[in-house]
Amino acid sequence: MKTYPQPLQKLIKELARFPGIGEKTAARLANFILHESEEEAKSLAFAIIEVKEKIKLCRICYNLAEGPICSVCADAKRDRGVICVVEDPDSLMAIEETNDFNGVYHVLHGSFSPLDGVGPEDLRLKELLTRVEEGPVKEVIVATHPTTQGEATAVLIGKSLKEKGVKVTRIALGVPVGGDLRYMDRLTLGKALSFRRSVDEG
Amino acid sequence: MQVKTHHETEAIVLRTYDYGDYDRVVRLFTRHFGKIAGMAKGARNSRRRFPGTLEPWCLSRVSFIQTTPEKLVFLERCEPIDYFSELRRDPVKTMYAARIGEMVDTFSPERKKNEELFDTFSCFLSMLNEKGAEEASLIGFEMRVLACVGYAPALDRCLSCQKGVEEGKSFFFVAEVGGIKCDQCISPRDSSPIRVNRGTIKALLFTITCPIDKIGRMRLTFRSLKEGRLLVDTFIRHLLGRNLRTARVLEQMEPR
Repeated sequence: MKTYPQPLQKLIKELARFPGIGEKTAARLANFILHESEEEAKSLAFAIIEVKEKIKLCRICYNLAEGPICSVCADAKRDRGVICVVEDPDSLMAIEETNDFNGVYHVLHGSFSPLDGVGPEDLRLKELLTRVEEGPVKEVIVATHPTTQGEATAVLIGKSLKEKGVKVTRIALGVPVGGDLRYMDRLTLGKALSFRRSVDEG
Repeated sequence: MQVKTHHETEAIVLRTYDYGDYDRVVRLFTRHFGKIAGMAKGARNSRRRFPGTLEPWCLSRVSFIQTTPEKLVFLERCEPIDYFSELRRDPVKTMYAARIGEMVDTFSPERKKNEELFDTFSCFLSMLNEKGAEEASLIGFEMRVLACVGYAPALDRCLSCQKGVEEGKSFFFVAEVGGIKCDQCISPRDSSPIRVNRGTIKALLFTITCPIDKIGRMRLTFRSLKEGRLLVDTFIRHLLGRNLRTARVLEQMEPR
């Protein structure tokens, strides 16, 4: 890398900070940017600056927002009695794409992960409790990832909301649509059995 | 020419990292090869070869291919032995498992077989999975892990005058010397000594020497819990020059 001119070295170093990007990939990206037109390179640089300047966190649900509140919280048609708790904005986007949920969200921005030094106080749990206490909330759906951290976070939320008089549910875990029971692992199948529901419920 | 060798062993997942869009890098503590890091190709979008077995602390029988000793191994498949599911249903248990897991990860060198440590780790996970989370047994297993990796503090006698634990009532733990000093030998030059009573020292000594399954039955008084926690944390901080990542989360979680 030392043979590259100084400005290119600097760009490679910056790009190599990105998750999953090593020095070689960073060098390839930097060379791509170098061979782009000045206009295209400026457009990329402005896009990065614009993201940092304009994207904030929604003051209600902590989703990404262009203004003080996000598009979901600003939507008057949404059912504010149902809050879906997710770990990150990506999970929120995934649920939104289903078009099956008409409630609002709460983004924790992480999960309970002692291995990473992330404890209950590092998540936006207090803010969730405040929302439940203040608002007309009937149900909290916990949609954290089905991982060790996600499961522990779900239990943590359940315990925190136990005495708040609100229904706390967990998204179903188990057999995927189109799956084959013969090929399911016993953990997934066990989850599917414990999350079973009456066939009348559809 | 690269020689590929195929291996099979029991392993406990220490932690995983996403790699690219589909793969996972997994750090495992194995019975026969010690700590290894492996690439699980396609682990993020296919659960056939790794059916939930790449979650932290899952005990499984792993098959892997090794090309060069210093590189990542390639995980072929993991057959579950025990998922230790209860560890995910109680945040305190999750915390305790993470604590011992981090100690095993931090203190064990790469690819150095340590069956005693493997048995200690799996016994702890099994006990935690089946019984309640007790801080006394956590401290006991922390001591045992330190002993397994050769870092047990010297608690059986005063490091200056060699007076045995039975001969004194009160001792001071000095992290710098890696052991205890009696009240006659402790001096102002010893930095940050921790007063520890004989009962605490005897309980901690017991965790190093007793059969592993007895550690879980250990009970400590409130005072011994406080002293034991402080002693272990101080010693780990001295050994590593930093706190474990789990230390601040442990502080946040109130013991039941």
